[in-house]
Amino acid sequence: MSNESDMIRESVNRMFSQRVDRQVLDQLEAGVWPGELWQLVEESGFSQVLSNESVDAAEGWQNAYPVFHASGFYRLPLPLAETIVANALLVLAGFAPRNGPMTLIQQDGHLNLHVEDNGLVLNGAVASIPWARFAKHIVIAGRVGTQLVLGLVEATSQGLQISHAQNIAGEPRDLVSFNDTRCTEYAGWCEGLPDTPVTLFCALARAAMMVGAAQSVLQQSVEYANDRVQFGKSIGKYQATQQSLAILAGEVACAQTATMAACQAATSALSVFDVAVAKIRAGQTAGVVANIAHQVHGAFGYTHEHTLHYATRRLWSWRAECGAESLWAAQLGRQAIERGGDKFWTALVARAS
Amino acid sequence: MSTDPAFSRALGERGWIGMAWPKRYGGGERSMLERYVVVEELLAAGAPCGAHWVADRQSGPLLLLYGQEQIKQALLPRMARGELYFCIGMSEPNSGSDLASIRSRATKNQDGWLLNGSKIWTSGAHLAQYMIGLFRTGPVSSNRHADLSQFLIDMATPGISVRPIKDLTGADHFNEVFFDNVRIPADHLLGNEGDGWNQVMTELAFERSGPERYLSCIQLLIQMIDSADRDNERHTVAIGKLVAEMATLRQMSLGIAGMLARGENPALPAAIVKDQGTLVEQNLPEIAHDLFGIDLSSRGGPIASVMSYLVQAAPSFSIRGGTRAIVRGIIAKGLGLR
Repeated sequence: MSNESDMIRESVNRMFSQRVDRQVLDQLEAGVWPGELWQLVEESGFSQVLSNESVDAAEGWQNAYPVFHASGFYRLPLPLAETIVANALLVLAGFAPRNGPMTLIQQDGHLNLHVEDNGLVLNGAVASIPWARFAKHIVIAGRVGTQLVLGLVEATSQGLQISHAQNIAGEPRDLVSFNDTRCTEYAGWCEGLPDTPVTLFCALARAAMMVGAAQSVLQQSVEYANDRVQFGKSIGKYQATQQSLAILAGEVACAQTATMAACQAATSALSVFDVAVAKIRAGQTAGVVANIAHQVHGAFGYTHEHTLHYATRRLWSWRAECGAESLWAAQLGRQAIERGGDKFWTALVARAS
Repeated sequence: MSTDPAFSRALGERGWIGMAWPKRYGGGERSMLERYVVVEELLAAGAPCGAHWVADRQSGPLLLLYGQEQIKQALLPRMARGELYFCIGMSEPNSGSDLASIRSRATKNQDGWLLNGSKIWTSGAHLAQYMIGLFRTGPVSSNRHADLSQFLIDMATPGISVRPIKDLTGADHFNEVFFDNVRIPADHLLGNEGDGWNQVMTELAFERSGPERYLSCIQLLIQMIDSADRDNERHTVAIGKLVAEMATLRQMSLGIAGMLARGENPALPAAIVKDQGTLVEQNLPEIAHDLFGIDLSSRGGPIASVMSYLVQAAPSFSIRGGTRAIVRGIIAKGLGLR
């Protein structure tokens, strides 16, 4: 990773370690928007880490990785990942990045897009949209006929309704419905860019957040194992605990390697193969890590008072978002089968999808 | 891995053994990453590299670090030509995971050393012309890691006998090796007397850091891909997850090759790759069984024959080069568990 990404990692970790505490996490779960924290994060420029035009596209994801990672590590209660990706897509579509929190929607069967009076009009409802209730703008990627388009909707637009829902970590995952809602602007999506950019970009961002959260769980578990004394010695001295934590560390290393590889190889287009590998691997890690960490922490880790659950409840939620492991694996598997066994190795080396 | 000395000599002729060694010792002075590419392709193709594998992977690098000049000049060029093969003398009947408890002994005399004792599980001892063995050169003291030393041993020396041990498949690839008053020259001590433990750890890092820790099963995965139905979601999901595992392990393995190229010590990440790699490899026959229920009869097709071999070989993957419990102990130590 470059010097610039090192600097970003340092400053983002410094800020989040000082500002993200359990008070702000609990406030979010009680429905309070951490406005002051958002202000600070936005002023730092982190929300434009993928849309900064002075940065080469190939370096964008290398710079964004530490921001996503820290968002997971410190369980940042803000739509920073969504805003970063929304800004990146806006810039790719030829628009200016926006201020304020944003979220994104990838069109599915429940959402219809059509063009009317030179404007993009939306009808339908989409569930589990992250942070929608707090977003100032929503970016929508989809199709009008065969044409791929990207549109931008303001939170105050007519016909836009948001009903609240949340994931098990208490993060907003709202139902967004549109009734003849007009985009404030929209553009055709260029050739050479992915067909489902929201899913693809958000999947890699989520994978990096899972790596961060898993790493914080590993760190907490090692500290707890060294501190907790039973039968006269710290439980970290027992081989059974050591072997479990070794598996946990191996899982984290795999998820990190897969995700960093995808970010390092990224251009503005992102490789579907790399993103699929990262999301699958990080998702598998999420379950194993949460399971082992809770076993090591015993009953203390199962209380609300302990901080472990802020990470583990996010891991359980995030692995299912932006495409669960099986969804991405079905794609990779089908490609491998169609290609044939004799091409497996060369395709793996080329990381081809 | 199967063995074919003619194939090893052909590889040597092509410059694909000892690729990263200095030219004055017959090497190619290539980078560790270039070597990695060749090693990976050989494994992916299932090439019969058994004869020279240990010499190329660990004995050569060990001799470069700790061998005396005249030994390096005499042996390394022949190793690089694919003519000289090595075996590893570490485990003993009563010392497996607890390697520091070995009892085979080297005693100093006026013209060199006298070896007595035995080694076990020695792969390729019946083929190798040389062994690099770990022996006790002092009393069993409170510091169990002191007083161990490594020796270069010509397997043709009088007093050495090799007894084959059939593995569970009936194949002869590992052995028990007995030393009965075996005389070896003074310059066959590798490194310093008493430094054997640290040297062995260096050697094991070479042994554990290669891509063989995730590529032993690739032929089965290839057969599984060819047996799978692209419209069967059970098949696509299972194969896709394995593709993701393999892509990740390859990336980690490549990272270790990069560390070796930069002269860094990859012991901890190598332990992680070994643990994760063997988990995936041992899971592969289980997934193949689950998806295809392959009948392991000798009249079966190509997938049955690969499966028959791997289902029996798989348990050895997390035993050779350090058992799973030992490898995880190394990881735990690296995590700072006290």
